[in-house]
Amino acid sequence: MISITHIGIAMLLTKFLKLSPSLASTIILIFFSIFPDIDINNSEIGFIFRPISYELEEHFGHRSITHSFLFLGISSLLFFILFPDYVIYVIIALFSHVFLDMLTYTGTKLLWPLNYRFVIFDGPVITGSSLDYLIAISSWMIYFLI
Amino acid sequence: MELIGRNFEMEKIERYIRHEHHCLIYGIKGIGKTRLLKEIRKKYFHRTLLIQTPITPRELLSDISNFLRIEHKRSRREQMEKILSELRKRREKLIFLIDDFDEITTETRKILNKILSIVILIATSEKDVRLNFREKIELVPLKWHESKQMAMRLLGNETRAQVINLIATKSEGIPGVIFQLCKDYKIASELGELKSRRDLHMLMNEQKPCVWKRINIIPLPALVFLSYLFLVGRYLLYGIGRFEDAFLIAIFGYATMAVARLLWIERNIDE
Repeated sequence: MISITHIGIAMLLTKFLKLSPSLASTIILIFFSIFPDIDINNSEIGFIFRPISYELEEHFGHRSITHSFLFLGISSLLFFILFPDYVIYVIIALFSHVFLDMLTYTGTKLLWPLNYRFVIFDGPVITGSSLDYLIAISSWMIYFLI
Repeated sequence: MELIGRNFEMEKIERYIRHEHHCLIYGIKGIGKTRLLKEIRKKYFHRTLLIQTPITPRELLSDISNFLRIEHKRSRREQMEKILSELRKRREKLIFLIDDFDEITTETRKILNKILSIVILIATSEKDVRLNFREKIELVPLKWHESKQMAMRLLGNETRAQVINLIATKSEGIPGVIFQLCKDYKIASELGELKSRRDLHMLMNEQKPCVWKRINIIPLPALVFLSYLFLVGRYLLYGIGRFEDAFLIAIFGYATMAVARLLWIERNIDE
Protein backbone atom coordinates (compact mmCIF):
# COMPACT_ATOMS: atom_id res chain seq x y z
CA MET A 1 0.00 0.00 0.00
CA ILE A 2 1.20 3.51 -0.75
CA SER A 3 1.86 5.98 2.07
CA ILE A 4 -1.08 8.30 1.32
CA THR A 5 -3.47 5.34 1.70
CA HIS A 6 -2.01 4.51 5.11
CA ILE A 7 -2.19 8.11 6.28
CA GLY A 8 -5.68 8.63 4.83
CA ILE A 9 -7.16 5.55 6.50
CA ALA A 10 -5.49 6.35 9.84
CA MET A 11 -6.87 9.91 9.71
CA LEU A 12 -10.30 8.61 8.78
CA LEU A 13 -10.28 6.21 11.71
CA THR A 14 -9.66 9.05 14.15
CA LYS A 15 -12.74 10.75 12.69
CA PHE A 16 -14.84 7.60 13.04
CA LEU A 17 -13.70 7.14 16.62
CA LYS A 18 -14.64 10.77 17.26
CA LEU A 19 -11.14 11.74 18.39
CA SER A 20 -9.92 15.29 18.00
CA PRO A 21 -6.16 15.04 17.61
CA SER A 22 -3.90 17.98 18.41
CA LEU A 23 -1.06 18.97 16.08
CA ALA A 24 1.39 16.75 17.97
CA SER A 25 -1.04 13.81 17.88
CA THR A 26 -1.62 14.29 14.15
CA ILE A 27 2.13 14.28 13.51
CA ILE A 28 2.50 11.12 15.59
CA LEU A 29 -0.43 9.53 13.76
CA ILE A 30 1.02 10.33 10.34
CA PHE A 31 4.50 9.20 11.33
CA PHE A 32 3.40 5.89 12.81
CA SER A 33 0.94 5.16 10.03
CA ILE A 34 3.89 4.87 7.63
CA PHE A 35 6.51 3.77 10.16
CA PRO A 36 6.19 -0.03 9.64
CA ASP A 37 7.43 0.47 6.06
CA ILE A 38 10.85 1.32 7.44
CA ASP A 39 11.78 -2.25 6.52
CA ILE A 40 12.02 -1.41 2.81
CA ASN A 41 14.16 1.28 1.23
CA ASN A 42 11.63 1.98 -1.57
CA SER A 43 9.24 3.61 0.87
CA GLU A 44 9.41 7.27 1.93
CA ILE A 45 10.20 6.44 5.54
CA GLY A 46 12.72 3.82 4.46
CA PHE A 47 14.44 6.37 2.26
CA ILE A 48 14.76 8.83 5.17
CA PHE A 49 16.11 6.23 7.59
CA ARG A 50 18.23 4.58 4.94
CA PRO A 51 20.92 2.71 6.87
CA ILE A 52 18.27 1.22 9.17
CA SER A 53 15.95 0.27 6.31
CA TYR A 54 18.81 -1.46 4.47
CA GLU A 55 19.69 -3.50 7.53
CA LEU A 56 16.06 -4.40 8.26
CA GLU A 57 15.44 -5.42 4.66
CA GLU A 58 18.56 -7.55 4.54
CA HIS A 59 17.98 -9.34 7.83
CA PHE A 60 14.22 -9.63 8.17
CA GLY A 61 12.61 -8.74 4.85
CA HIS A 62 9.63 -6.56 4.02
CA ARG A 63 6.38 -6.89 6.02
CA SER A 64 7.95 -9.12 8.62
CA ILE A 65 9.18 -7.82 11.98
CA THR A 66 7.70 -4.31 11.74
CA HIS A 67 4.34 -5.70 10.65
CA SER A 68 4.06 -8.29 13.41
CA PHE A 69 2.03 -8.50 16.60
CA LEU A 70 5.34 -8.54 18.45
CA PHE A 71 6.31 -5.11 17.16
CA LEU A 72 2.79 -3.72 17.51
CA GLY A 73 2.61 -4.94 21.11
CA ILE A 74 6.02 -3.68 22.15
CA SER A 75 5.66 -0.24 20.56
CA SER A 76 2.15 0.22 21.99
CA LEU A 77 3.37 -0.82 25.43
CA LEU A 78 6.35 1.56 25.22
CA PHE A 79 4.10 4.46 24.31
CA PHE A 80 1.66 3.47 27.03
CA ILE A 81 4.47 3.74 29.60
CA LEU A 82 6.24 6.80 28.19
CA PHE A 83 3.52 8.91 26.52
CA PRO A 84 0.11 7.57 27.58
CA ASP A 85 -1.74 10.51 25.95
CA TYR A 86 -0.59 9.50 22.49
CA VAL A 87 -0.89 5.72 22.77
CA ILE A 88 -4.32 5.59 21.08
CA TYR A 89 -2.93 7.36 17.98
CA VAL A 90 0.03 5.00 17.82
CA ILE A 91 -2.28 1.98 18.09
CA ILE A 92 -4.64 3.32 15.39
CA ALA A 93 -1.74 4.16 13.07
CA LEU A 94 0.13 0.87 13.44
CA PHE A 95 -2.88 -1.43 13.40
CA SER A 96 -4.48 0.32 10.42
CA HIS A 97 -1.17 0.00 8.55
CA VAL A 98 -0.90 -3.72 9.17
CA PHE A 99 -4.59 -4.26 8.44
CA LEU A 100 -4.28 -2.43 5.11
CA ASP A 101 -1.18 -4.36 4.14
CA MET A 102 -3.11 -7.54 4.76
CA LEU A 103 -5.34 -6.50 1.88
CA THR A 104 -2.44 -7.04 -0.52
CA TYR A 105 -1.65 -10.39 -2.13
CA THR A 106 1.57 -10.99 -0.19
CA GLY A 107 0.00 -10.05 3.14
CA THR A 108 1.98 -9.58 6.32
CA LYS A 109 3.86 -11.88 8.68
CA LEU A 110 1.64 -11.16 11.65
CA LEU A 111 3.12 -13.98 13.70
CA TRP A 112 6.73 -13.25 12.85
CA PRO A 113 9.16 -15.10 13.31
CA LEU A 114 6.77 -17.70 11.90
CA ASN A 115 6.85 -17.72 8.11
CA TYR A 116 3.09 -17.60 7.51
CA ARG A 117 1.66 -14.61 5.66
CA PHE A 118 -1.78 -13.42 6.65
CA VAL A 119 -4.21 -11.82 4.23
CA ILE A 120 -7.82 -10.70 4.38
CA PHE A 121 -10.45 -10.92 1.63
CA ASP A 122 -7.93 -13.02 -0.41
CA GLY A 123 -5.59 -10.01 -0.75
CA PRO A 124 -7.13 -8.27 -3.76
CA VAL A 125 -5.00 -5.09 -3.75
CA ILE A 126 -1.67 -4.62 -5.52
CA THR A 127 0.56 -1.87 -4.10
CA GLY A 128 0.50 1.19 -6.35
CA SER A 129 -2.40 -0.14 -8.42
CA SER A 130 -5.52 1.85 -9.30
CA LEU A 131 -7.41 0.13 -6.47
CA ASP A 132 -4.76 1.31 -4.03
CA TYR A 133 -5.15 4.90 -5.27
CA LEU A 134 -8.93 4.53 -5.21
CA ILE A 135 -8.82 3.57 -1.52
CA ALA A 136 -6.49 6.50 -0.84
CA ILE A 137 -8.64 9.06 -2.67
CA SER A 138 -11.89 7.77 -1.15
CA SER A 139 -10.47 7.80 2.37
CA TRP A 140 -9.30 11.40 1.99
CA MET A 141 -12.59 12.45 0.38
CA ILE A 142 -14.65 10.87 3.18
CA TYR A 143 -12.31 12.45 5.75
CA PHE A 144 -12.88 15.94 4.39
CA LEU A 145 -16.59 15.46 3.67
CA ILE A 146 -17.62 14.09 7.09
CA MET B 1 26.07 -28.98 -6.03
CA GLU B 2 25.43 -30.85 -2.80
CA LEU B 3 21.85 -30.93 -1.51
CA ILE B 4 21.37 -28.44 1.35
CA GLY B 5 18.89 -28.67 4.20
CA ARG B 6 17.06 -31.78 3.07
CA ASN B 7 18.82 -34.42 5.17
CA PHE B 8 15.75 -35.12 7.27
CA GLU B 9 13.53 -35.61 4.21
CA MET B 10 16.19 -37.76 2.53
CA GLU B 11 16.42 -40.02 5.58
CA LYS B 12 12.65 -40.34 5.64
CA ILE B 13 12.53 -41.33 1.96
CA GLU B 14 15.31 -43.88 2.43
CA ARG B 15 13.29 -45.40 5.27
CA TYR B 16 10.17 -45.54 3.09
CA ILE B 17 12.13 -47.24 0.32
CA ARG B 18 13.43 -49.81 2.81
CA HIS B 19 9.86 -50.48 4.01
CA GLU B 20 8.58 -50.43 0.40
CA HIS B 21 6.07 -47.61 0.95
CA HIS B 22 4.87 -45.31 -1.80
CA CYS B 23 5.66 -41.68 -1.08
CA LEU B 24 4.45 -38.32 -2.35
CA ILE B 25 6.68 -35.27 -2.07
CA TYR B 26 4.69 -32.08 -2.37
CA GLY B 27 5.28 -28.37 -2.01
CA ILE B 28 5.15 -25.09 -3.91
CA LYS B 29 7.01 -24.41 -7.17
CA GLY B 30 10.75 -24.02 -6.70
CA ILE B 31 10.85 -25.64 -3.27
CA GLY B 32 13.21 -28.38 -4.51
CA LYS B 33 10.99 -31.39 -5.23
CA THR B 34 12.68 -32.34 -8.50
CA ARG B 35 16.10 -31.77 -6.96
CA LEU B 36 15.25 -34.22 -4.18
CA LEU B 37 14.01 -36.73 -6.74
CA LYS B 38 17.29 -36.45 -8.63
CA GLU B 39 19.17 -37.07 -5.39
CA ILE B 40 17.18 -40.27 -4.83
CA ARG B 41 17.96 -41.32 -8.38
CA LYS B 42 21.65 -40.75 -7.76
CA LYS B 43 21.53 -42.90 -4.64
CA TYR B 44 19.48 -45.79 -6.09
CA PHE B 45 20.59 -45.46 -9.69
CA HIS B 46 20.57 -49.19 -10.48
CA ARG B 47 16.89 -49.63 -9.57
CA THR B 48 15.24 -46.31 -10.39
CA LEU B 49 13.29 -45.21 -13.41
CA LEU B 50 12.70 -41.47 -13.72
CA ILE B 51 9.44 -40.69 -15.49
CA GLN B 52 8.95 -37.17 -16.81
CA THR B 53 5.40 -35.96 -17.25
CA PRO B 54 3.26 -35.35 -19.27
CA ILE B 55 3.47 -38.91 -20.53
CA THR B 56 1.06 -41.02 -22.57
CA PRO B 57 0.30 -44.65 -21.57
CA ARG B 58 2.21 -45.91 -24.63
CA GLU B 59 5.27 -43.81 -23.76
CA LEU B 60 5.13 -45.05 -20.17
CA LEU B 61 5.02 -48.69 -21.23
CA SER B 62 7.81 -48.09 -23.68
CA ASP B 63 9.97 -46.42 -21.00
CA ILE B 64 9.44 -49.30 -18.58
CA SER B 65 10.13 -51.88 -21.30
CA ASN B 66 13.35 -50.14 -22.27
CA PHE B 67 14.46 -50.04 -18.66
CA LEU B 68 13.67 -53.74 -18.15
CA ARG B 69 15.13 -54.57 -21.58
CA ILE B 70 11.95 -56.22 -22.78
CA GLU B 71 11.12 -56.43 -26.43
CA HIS B 72 8.16 -54.32 -27.55
CA LYS B 73 4.92 -56.23 -28.17
CA ARG B 74 2.22 -55.24 -30.60
CA SER B 75 -0.67 -55.01 -28.21
CA ARG B 76 -0.69 -52.97 -25.05
CA ARG B 77 -2.14 -55.85 -23.03
CA GLU B 78 0.65 -58.24 -24.03
CA GLN B 79 3.22 -55.60 -23.24
CA MET B 80 1.65 -55.00 -19.86
CA GLU B 81 1.63 -58.70 -19.01
CA LYS B 82 5.25 -59.06 -20.00
CA ILE B 83 6.18 -56.06 -17.84
CA LEU B 84 4.25 -57.39 -14.86
CA SER B 85 5.88 -60.80 -15.07
CA GLU B 86 9.30 -59.22 -15.41
CA LEU B 87 8.72 -56.91 -12.44
CA ARG B 88 7.57 -59.82 -10.27
CA LYS B 89 10.76 -61.71 -11.03
CA ARG B 90 12.97 -58.97 -9.57
CA ARG B 91 14.52 -59.55 -6.18
CA GLU B 92 14.44 -55.86 -5.26
CA LYS B 93 11.40 -53.76 -6.06
CA LEU B 94 11.91 -51.20 -8.79
CA ILE B 95 11.60 -47.53 -7.77
CA PHE B 96 9.50 -45.35 -10.04
CA LEU B 97 10.25 -41.65 -9.70
CA ILE B 98 7.54 -39.49 -11.20
CA ASP B 99 8.06 -35.76 -11.50
CA ASP B 100 4.90 -33.58 -11.48
CA PHE B 101 2.50 -36.39 -10.72
CA ASP B 102 -0.49 -34.01 -10.95
CA GLU B 103 0.09 -33.75 -14.70
CA ILE B 104 -0.44 -37.46 -15.26
CA THR B 105 -3.54 -38.45 -17.27
CA THR B 106 -6.22 -40.84 -16.02
CA GLU B 107 -5.16 -43.50 -18.54
CA THR B 108 -1.55 -43.42 -17.38
CA ARG B 109 -2.74 -43.50 -13.79
CA LYS B 110 -4.68 -46.71 -14.53
CA ILE B 111 -1.51 -48.39 -15.76
CA LEU B 112 0.34 -47.24 -12.66
CA ASN B 113 -2.44 -48.63 -10.47
CA LYS B 114 -1.87 -52.07 -12.00
CA ILE B 115 1.82 -52.15 -11.13
CA LEU B 116 1.55 -50.32 -7.82
CA SER B 117 1.87 -53.48 -5.73
CA ILE B 118 5.13 -54.58 -7.34
CA VAL B 119 7.03 -51.28 -7.50
CA ILE B 120 7.84 -48.43 -5.12
CA LEU B 121 6.41 -45.16 -6.31
CA ILE B 122 7.99 -41.85 -5.33
CA ALA B 123 6.29 -38.86 -6.90
CA THR B 124 6.35 -35.10 -6.69
CA SER B 125 3.42 -32.76 -6.99
CA GLU B 126 2.55 -29.16 -6.23
CA LYS B 127 -0.58 -30.25 -4.40
CA ASP B 128 -1.69 -33.29 -2.50
CA VAL B 129 -3.06 -35.86 -5.01
CA ARG B 130 -5.52 -38.73 -4.75
CA LEU B 131 -3.63 -41.99 -5.09
CA ASN B 132 -2.65 -44.72 -2.74
CA PHE B 133 0.36 -42.92 -1.26
CA ARG B 134 1.02 -44.26 2.18
CA GLU B 135 3.55 -41.58 3.06
CA LYS B 136 3.50 -37.89 2.26
CA ILE B 137 6.25 -35.35 2.73
CA GLU B 138 5.62 -31.63 2.48
CA LEU B 139 8.74 -29.69 1.60
CA VAL B 140 9.09 -26.50 3.62
CA PRO B 141 11.40 -23.53 2.89
CA LEU B 142 15.03 -23.73 3.94
CA LYS B 143 16.07 -22.19 7.23
CA TRP B 144 17.86 -18.82 7.27
CA HIS B 145 21.36 -20.30 7.70
CA GLU B 146 20.68 -22.95 5.05
CA SER B 147 19.55 -20.30 2.56
CA LYS B 148 22.72 -18.34 3.29
CA GLN B 149 24.79 -21.48 2.85
CA MET B 150 23.16 -22.18 -0.51
CA ALA B 151 23.67 -18.60 -1.72
CA MET B 152 27.29 -18.76 -0.58
CA ARG B 153 27.84 -22.00 -2.51
CA LEU B 154 26.37 -20.46 -5.65
CA LEU B 155 28.18 -17.13 -5.45
CA GLY B 156 31.41 -18.08 -3.70
CA ASN B 157 32.67 -17.43 -0.19
CA GLU B 158 34.16 -14.03 -1.05
CA THR B 159 30.72 -12.50 -1.76
CA ARG B 160 29.69 -9.63 0.53
CA ALA B 161 27.56 -10.54 3.54
CA GLN B 162 25.01 -7.89 2.48
CA VAL B 163 24.33 -9.77 -0.76
CA ILE B 164 24.07 -13.16 0.92
CA ASN B 165 21.74 -11.84 3.64
CA LEU B 166 19.54 -10.05 1.13
CA ILE B 167 19.23 -13.14 -1.07
CA ALA B 168 18.44 -15.33 1.94
CA THR B 169 15.75 -12.88 3.09
CA LYS B 170 14.18 -12.11 -0.28
CA SER B 171 13.98 -15.78 -1.26
CA GLU B 172 12.17 -16.67 1.98
CA GLY B 173 14.10 -19.96 1.92
CA ILE B 174 12.76 -21.17 -1.42
CA PRO B 175 15.70 -22.81 -3.24
CA GLY B 176 14.38 -22.01 -6.73
CA VAL B 177 14.23 -18.32 -5.87
CA ILE B 178 17.70 -18.38 -4.27
CA PHE B 179 19.04 -19.85 -7.50
CA GLN B 180 17.27 -17.21 -9.61
CA LEU B 181 18.43 -14.31 -7.41
CA CYS B 182 22.03 -15.55 -7.46
CA LYS B 183 21.88 -15.78 -11.25
CA ASP B 184 20.45 -12.24 -11.50
CA TYR B 185 23.14 -10.94 -9.15
CA LYS B 186 25.92 -12.60 -11.13
CA ILE B 187 24.69 -11.14 -14.43
CA ALA B 188 24.19 -7.65 -12.96
CA SER B 189 27.61 -7.63 -11.31
CA GLU B 190 29.29 -8.82 -14.50
CA LEU B 191 27.60 -5.99 -16.38
CA GLY B 192 28.77 -3.53 -13.70
CA GLU B 193 25.21 -2.47 -12.83
CA LEU B 194 25.66 -2.75 -9.08
CA LYS B 195 27.45 0.43 -8.04
CA SER B 196 25.79 1.01 -4.69
CA ARG B 197 23.81 -0.75 -2.00
CA ARG B 198 20.67 0.86 -3.40
CA ASP B 199 21.30 -0.75 -6.82
CA LEU B 200 21.59 -4.12 -5.13
CA HIS B 201 18.30 -3.63 -3.27
CA MET B 202 16.59 -2.43 -6.45
CA LEU B 203 17.78 -5.52 -8.30
CA MET B 204 16.49 -7.84 -5.60
CA ASN B 205 13.16 -6.01 -5.42
CA GLU B 206 12.61 -6.70 -9.13
CA GLN B 207 11.98 -10.33 -8.20
CA LYS B 208 8.31 -11.09 -7.61
CA PRO B 209 7.74 -11.54 -3.88
CA CYS B 210 7.53 -15.20 -3.01
CA VAL B 211 4.95 -16.47 -0.60
CA TRP B 212 5.20 -19.89 0.96
CA LYS B 213 1.96 -20.08 2.90
CA ARG B 214 -0.87 -17.59 2.82
CA ILE B 215 -3.52 -17.70 5.47
CA ASN B 216 -6.72 -15.94 4.59
CA ILE B 217 -8.13 -14.71 7.91
CA ILE B 218 -11.35 -13.24 6.49
CA PRO B 219 -12.46 -14.80 3.19
CA LEU B 220 -14.09 -12.59 0.58
CA PRO B 221 -17.62 -14.03 1.04
CA ALA B 222 -17.42 -12.91 4.66
CA LEU B 223 -17.48 -9.32 3.42
CA VAL B 224 -21.19 -9.66 2.57
CA PHE B 225 -21.91 -11.28 5.90
CA LEU B 226 -19.99 -8.55 7.75
CA SER B 227 -21.78 -5.74 5.94
CA TYR B 228 -25.11 -7.45 6.73
CA LEU B 229 -24.08 -7.74 10.37
CA PHE B 230 -23.01 -4.07 10.42
CA LEU B 231 -26.31 -2.84 9.00
CA VAL B 232 -28.40 -5.04 11.29
CA GLY B 233 -26.30 -4.02 14.30
CA ARG B 234 -26.63 -0.36 13.40
CA TYR B 235 -30.39 -0.71 13.14
CA LEU B 236 -30.81 -2.71 16.33
CA LEU B 237 -28.39 -0.71 18.48
CA TYR B 238 -28.89 2.84 17.24
CA GLY B 239 -32.06 2.63 15.18
CA ILE B 240 -30.21 3.99 12.10
CA GLY B 241 -31.28 2.84 8.63
CA ARG B 242 -33.80 0.17 7.71
CA PHE B 243 -33.75 -3.49 8.59
CA GLU B 244 -34.71 -4.43 5.00
CA ASP B 245 -31.54 -2.78 3.63
CA ALA B 246 -29.45 -5.37 5.40
CA PHE B 247 -31.45 -8.20 3.82
CA LEU B 248 -31.15 -6.58 0.40
CA ILE B 249 -27.38 -6.28 0.78
CA ALA B 250 -27.09 -9.93 1.81
CA ILE B 251 -29.34 -11.23 -0.98
CA PHE B 252 -27.63 -9.08 -3.64
CA GLY B 253 -24.17 -10.07 -2.36
CA TYR B 254 -24.82 -13.79 -2.24
CA ALA B 255 -26.59 -13.75 -5.62
CA THR B 256 -23.61 -11.95 -7.19
CA MET B 257 -21.24 -14.48 -5.69
CA ALA B 258 -23.35 -17.39 -6.94
CA VAL B 259 -23.38 -15.96 -10.49
CA ALA B 260 -19.63 -15.31 -10.34
CA ARG B 261 -19.07 -18.88 -9.15
CA LEU B 262 -21.19 -20.28 -11.99
CA LEU B 263 -19.31 -18.19 -14.55
CA TRP B 264 -16.03 -19.33 -13.06
CA ILE B 265 -17.02 -22.99 -13.32
CA GLU B 266 -18.19 -22.45 -16.91
CA ARG B 267 -14.92 -20.78 -17.83
CA ASN B 268 -12.96 -23.67 -16.33
CA ILE B 269 -15.04 -26.20 -18.30
CA ASP B 270 -14.43 -24.21 -21.51
CA GLU B 271 -10.72 -24.17 -20.90
